[in-house]
This record gives sequence, C-alpha cells and structure tokens, in this order.
Amino acid sequence: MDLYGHFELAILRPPHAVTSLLPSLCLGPTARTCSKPTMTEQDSTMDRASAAEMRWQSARAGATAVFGLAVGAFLFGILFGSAAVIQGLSPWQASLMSITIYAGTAQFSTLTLLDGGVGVPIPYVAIVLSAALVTMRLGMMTASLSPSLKRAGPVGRIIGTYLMNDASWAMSTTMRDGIDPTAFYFGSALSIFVCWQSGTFVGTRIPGLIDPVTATALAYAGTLFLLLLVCVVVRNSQASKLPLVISATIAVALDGRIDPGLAVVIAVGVAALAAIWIEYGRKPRSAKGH
Amino acid sequence: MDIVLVTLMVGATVFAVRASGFLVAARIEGERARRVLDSLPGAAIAAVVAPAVFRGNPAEIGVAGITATVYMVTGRMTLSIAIGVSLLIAAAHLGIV
Repeated sequence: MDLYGHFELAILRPPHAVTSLLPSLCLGPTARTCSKPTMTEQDSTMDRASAAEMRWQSARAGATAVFGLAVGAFLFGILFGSAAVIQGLSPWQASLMSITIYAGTAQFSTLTLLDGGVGVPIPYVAIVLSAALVTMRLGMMTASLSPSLKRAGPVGRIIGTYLMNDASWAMSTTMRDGIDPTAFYFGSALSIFVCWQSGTFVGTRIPGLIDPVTATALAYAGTLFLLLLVCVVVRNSQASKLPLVISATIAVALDGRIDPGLAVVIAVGVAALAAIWIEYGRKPRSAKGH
Repeated sequence: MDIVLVTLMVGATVFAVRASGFLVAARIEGERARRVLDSLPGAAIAAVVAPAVFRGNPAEIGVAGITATVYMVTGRMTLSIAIGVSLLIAAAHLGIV
C-alpha cells in the first residue's frame, strides 16, 4: 500500500480491531442485525440527552482545566503577532502563519529562519525540516491520544489532529472517571486555539502592546509553562517517571554540545528504551527468588 | 523568499508530523506497549524544558522552582501560572532578570 493509502487507512477509517467490535456494541452498519433488545424511543431519547450532557460537561471541564494555559497562549500569540509584524510580515501573513502552522515553536523557528541574517536566504528544505524536528513531540501526543481522537469520527480526527498541542495532551492525564475523554480534549484544544489566534490578531494590530521589559520576562514564561506541563504529568500520571527523569538529564548533559533538536531526539530515544525496559525487561515477581 | 509558500509548506509538514502519530498508534498492541507510548510525550517535553530552565539566570531558575512547587503542592494550574508570571515580570522590571 502506498503512503497515501496508509494515511487514509489510519486517519479516515477505523482500524479492523474497532470495526470487529461494532456488532457486539450494536453500533454502525451491523446495528440492524444486532440481537440486543430494542430500547423504547423514550429510553433512547433520554440516553442520547444524557450522553450529550456528559459530552458538554466534559468539554467544559477541558476548557476549565487549561484556563491558565489558554491565557498564556493568548499572551504568546500577542508576542508572535508583534514579532512577525516587526520582522516585516503583514498582519494577514502573520495570522495565516498562526492558522496554518498552529505550533508556537515552529512558528517562531520559521520566523527566525525567514529572517536569515545578513540577507542570506535559508533553503526552504532547511526551514521545513527544522519545523518537523521541533514539533516531533506533537506526533507522539497524537499517538498517545489516538484512542480518544478515533471516537470523534473521520472529520473529528482530522480536526483533533490539527488542534493537538502540549497543554491539551498534558491536561488529558488529569481526567477522572465520568469524563468523556474526547469531549474533554476538544474543549481544551479549542480553548487554546481560540486564545492563540486571538492573541496573534491582537499582536499584529498593536505590535508595541507589550513593553520590551515585559516581553523579555515573558520569553522565559514559555519555559515556565512547559515546566508546569511536566509537573502535570508527574503529579497525575500513573506511569513510571523514570523515562522522564532520564530524558531531562540527558538533554541537560547534551545542552550546548550538539544541535538542540538532535539532543531531544537522543534524550527521548534513551527514555523510550528505559520505558521498554520498565514494561518488558523486568522479571515478573513470580520468577524472583529462584 | 515567498512567505506564503514557506508558511504553507511548514503548515503541511507540521500537520503531517501530528498525523504521523496515528500511523504509530495503529501498530501498537497491548497495554504495556501503550504505556510505553504514553510515556514518550512527557519525556519529549522534559527534554525541551530541562535545558531551557537551567539556561536562565539564578532569579529565573528560582522563579521556576517556586512555580513548580506551588503547582505540585496545590495542583492549581491558574494559580501557579499567575504566581510565576507575576514574579518574572516583577523581577524583570526590578532589573533582577
């Protein structure tokens, strides 16, 4: 199967494991032949209303969970919009960049490389590869949340993929029982999206809105936000924290010695090996003591 | 350089990177493999943020420590962000950072 076929299968069609479950769930095309007792129309209406209410409440919970981070996204959107206009982009070009790329790291990276320095043009390929490298973790996040995204249907999957961001992934680890994970994700992701785009718009219209001293302070605030996301994972995830510690340690050790993007790849690679060892490499307790 | 062309190329690339997660997830079977997969995004964020934290000056690193401590103790994201950003801006205007 060619690359497009793989893409279409993965994104637009449920995997076989899901479709094979449909008869037992009495959903989809096989519902008519399902042997499950038929609900009365009233029961069906009440269940649909309850499900809709649950989804709405879950979406609200997602939006509430990322409120502080959404405010941060608005501020950083302003920073980006201002920086883009100051660098020479028109307001609509800056907004197009925010809408099309929708990844702060990649947007700032692209701005930097567009500038080139001393009038030296950077090859398009270099700019594109740089963007791919700095957004690699978004692919990991989509993989992690793929069960929730698959429940959103084909169009929902595409939109959910486009909206994937650090904050929404991290806050998904805080979900508790009774929450619809798909609705929670979309509530949080849409909040971040709206704030980021609004901030960019404001920043392009009022480039000097944030004074230089505050802008300098907010540059480190981005690091604070990411640090808090790590804290979210540490505080809420049930998984081992060892891969995270290993990744951070290696990245710090390699900082300044090799390309930052390569350092992240190495750090995450070693963390992945550690995670595999934790899950597969340790002997089961019944085997100990021989 | 054509800014619109570069923007569209980068946008398509970033979307492809995001979507590549589905291709990976489609090949993951079993709870243990899923737990390995779920641990990677956090490790990636940690790899990005850890060096950035220590590249700051002592005041900024101190603010980072305070912010992280507030969140770990209270679990309140908005409060932690408000405290952290306020301290950073105050320190910047006082000339400490």
